[in-house]
Amino acid sequence: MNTYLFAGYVVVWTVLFLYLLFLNKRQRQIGEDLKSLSDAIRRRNK
Amino acid sequence: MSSTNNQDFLPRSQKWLQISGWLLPFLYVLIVAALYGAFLYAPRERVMGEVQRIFYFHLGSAWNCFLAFFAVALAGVLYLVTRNEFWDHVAAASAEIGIVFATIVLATGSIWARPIWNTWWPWGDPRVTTMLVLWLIYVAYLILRSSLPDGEKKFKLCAVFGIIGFLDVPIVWMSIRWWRTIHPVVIASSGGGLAPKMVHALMIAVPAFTVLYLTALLLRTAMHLHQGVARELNQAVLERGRP
Repeated sequence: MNTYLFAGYVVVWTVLFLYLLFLNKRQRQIGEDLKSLSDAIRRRNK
Repeated sequence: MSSTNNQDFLPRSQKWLQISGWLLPFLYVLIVAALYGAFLYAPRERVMGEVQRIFYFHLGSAWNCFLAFFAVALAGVLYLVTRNEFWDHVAAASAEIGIVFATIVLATGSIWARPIWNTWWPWGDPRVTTMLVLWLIYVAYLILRSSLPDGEKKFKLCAVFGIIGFLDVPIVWMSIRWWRTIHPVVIASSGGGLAPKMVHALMIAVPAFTVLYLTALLLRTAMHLHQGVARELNQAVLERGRP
């Protein structure tokens, strides 16, 4: 019985943690987009 | 149309990020209180035993997945009325978070069902089946979003899909009342048969998950807006750079 309870809460925290990882990846992607944007602007202004 | 629109939303998204930062301390306190309520404060259920404690986070997730899908439908209506792209960003963010909660509901329900119903998945049970259908509807919604190019056609289609998809939520809610099912009725006019301390634990778990949903919604919508702005500015720079 306790094994199932443990498994239930492990699933809750794992799903939430994986979603946080996904958000982190997306945030990094936005950072890369902004970096390539600032690079493009710098190149144009040279 | 969308270039200026998304950049106009930037001050709003900054404010949302700030609010989500303010919500974080409340979220930490509520989650700790919800864990205390579920594991230490609520009494052990006589028939089901310790495994019943899954129920507090299961129901908290279920409530917030319904709330998230309601927000998708509402944002869809607001998009169709105002044609403001901002509502499409809100709908996309809310659908994604709703799927996270729906996944938790299905997984914890299945883990609880194994020792109680002696099966991981009771095929044919109306509550379980309608909930799985709800999950599939919003997974299809996200697939539709990612497979269409940005533009009014996509926003319109997704808004309509989000509104129609929400029709499954009342069916999920009423399934245990309309059809024969082995799923327990927790919230009923007669009180649902929960001990007062279990109700208190539930009253902490549900708001804790609601604050988690709101924080995630603010963050994810702001990220959607920033992503849109970055993409549009990149496009504009590339177009201007062409001979």
